[in-house]
Amino acid sequence: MKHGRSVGMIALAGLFVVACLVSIRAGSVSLGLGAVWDALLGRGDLSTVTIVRDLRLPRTAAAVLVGAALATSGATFQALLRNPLAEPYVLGISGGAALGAVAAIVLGVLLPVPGAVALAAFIGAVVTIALVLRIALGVGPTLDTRVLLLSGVVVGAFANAGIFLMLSVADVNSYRSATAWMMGSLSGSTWSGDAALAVQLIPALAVLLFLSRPLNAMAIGEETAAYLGVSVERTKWLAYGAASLLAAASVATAGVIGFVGLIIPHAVRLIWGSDYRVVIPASALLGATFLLLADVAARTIAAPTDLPLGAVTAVVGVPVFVALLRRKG
Amino acid sequence: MWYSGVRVRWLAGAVGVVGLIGGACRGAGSRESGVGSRGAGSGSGSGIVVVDGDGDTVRLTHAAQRVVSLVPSATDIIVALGGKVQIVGRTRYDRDTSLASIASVGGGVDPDLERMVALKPDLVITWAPSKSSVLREQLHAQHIATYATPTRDTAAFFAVESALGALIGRDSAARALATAIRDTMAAVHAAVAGRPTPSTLYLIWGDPPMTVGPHTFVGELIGVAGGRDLFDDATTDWPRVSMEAIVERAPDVVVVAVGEDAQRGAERMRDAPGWRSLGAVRAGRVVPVPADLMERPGPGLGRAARILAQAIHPEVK
Repeated sequence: MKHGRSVGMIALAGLFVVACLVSIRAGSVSLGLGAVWDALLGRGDLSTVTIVRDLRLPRTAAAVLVGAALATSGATFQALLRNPLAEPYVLGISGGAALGAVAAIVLGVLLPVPGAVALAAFIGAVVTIALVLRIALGVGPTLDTRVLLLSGVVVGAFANAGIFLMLSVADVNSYRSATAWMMGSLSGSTWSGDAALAVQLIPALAVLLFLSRPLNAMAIGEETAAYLGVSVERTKWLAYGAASLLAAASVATAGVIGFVGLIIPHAVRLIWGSDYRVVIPASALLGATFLLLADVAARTIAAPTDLPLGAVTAVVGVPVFVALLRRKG
Repeated sequence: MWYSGVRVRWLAGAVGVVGLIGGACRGAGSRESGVGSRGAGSGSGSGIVVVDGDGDTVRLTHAAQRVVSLVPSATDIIVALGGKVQIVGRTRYDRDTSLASIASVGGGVDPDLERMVALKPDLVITWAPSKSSVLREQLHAQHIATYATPTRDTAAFFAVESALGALIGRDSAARALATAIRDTMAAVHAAVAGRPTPSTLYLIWGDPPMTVGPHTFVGELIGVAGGRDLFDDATTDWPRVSMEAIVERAPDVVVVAVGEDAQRGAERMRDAPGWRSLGAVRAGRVVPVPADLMERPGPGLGRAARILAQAIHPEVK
């Protein structure tokens, strides 16, 4: 069992490396490995150098970071809330982020500085997280995960209503930008955005890996976990905080990309079982690989048009997941 | 049906622009170059009969005296034909201050039906396609005639212009305006004829980058103005394109539509990864143009062609 698991992980790591290479080579212009190498060194055709260095590399890095963040966040929420439908967005985080982003686009409240929309989205997400926690804590002395889930859904619905109200008075160009943002895209990826994401992703991922043993116990039940010596409240707070941060940072970078946070952890559990010491890192790796390939599809299928990534993840992912379910069933 | 006819004409003609200008040179009486030939025409005895953008026959017994226009370019055409007194309703997108006294019925696609009916129009100008629109059914149930306006290419403009002239009883003004616009386009094209055709990226909006296909009136005007649409192989009319494709195709000129809100999009474009590396950007060949004029297939078409020619061929005075 242990041996088979490590073979599987090595295979997944290999797939991840291949996906990274494909992501740098493929696009509306397909490049050979030699051309990619030259471009990385700054040699050859100027437009190819720009495409590889300024567009594809930051975009590939963003796909890795966002995919890993969403999948890890989803895995954590599913353990924490003991609900297979839990994902980053069910707690209202995407709704709050989208409200922030749409407000920035439609109302133009922020000056057109780089990253203004991402910043507004991040603020929206953080405000939502705080609001959801505040509502959940208002109900009882401890953090009841069922109440947390409910308040997330309610706050998310409220944010959606706000988005619809704003879009109904938006001018046509803001409407275009806002809907494109809500369908998710990595086309605006920059190194500075990637760095901001990495700064949040790496500590949050470390915290969640550290929490994988308590999360294993929590997945059975809070009382059992307490008997096993887990400090339940601390675990809940830390895990909720880290997973929310991951979701907020990735939505701010890439817009709303559904499906990854929901399905990738399930796929990992179907393949490797539900030990969170494996589920957390495997989800990060599989999420990154999946989003890399989905983004390649988004860039190439209808080139020179970029397809919305949030739609591609579902269109590509659902059949794969159904096949996986049937194989296991 | 209507569109496919236009497309066939485009594919059949070796160079679309030549066909367009050829039509212009034959003068106002020539209708071959526009689909208007199928419909635009009025008989004094049997009332007015035109065919609209949905291929439907629109019949009026008398020239329309109370028109609600839901299409800003059509509003502009009617005003240019001297029919402003016949307009009783407009949309909130008609920003011309001279139209401020005319009642607004809201948006063009989601107008306030009650307010429209209260204006007692004898003709409502709608967007094409409208075959599946509830609005069209509701208006017909009130016995209000509708004209569905195609807005795709220059042929559609000339068809609409001629049909609207007939519907509001201003045929001769319509013929004069069509001739004037065709003459302007022919003059613009003559001034740049024989010169190299720089590849031109027309940016409707920068976030995400959105441009024009070759069969749109803007795409056609780029050809009239002596340029080549950077995405002349696009299969859709208003394609969203990736920055990667723009960098790879390396446009000679970038034309950015700016308006009240498009200004923000253009500014945001400057921070898009890859934008600064574009040869056209570094060579200072980024030209702002007024979005409201450029993106309405209205009476400003000739002026739009002239502005594009100045952007693409600044060396020609």
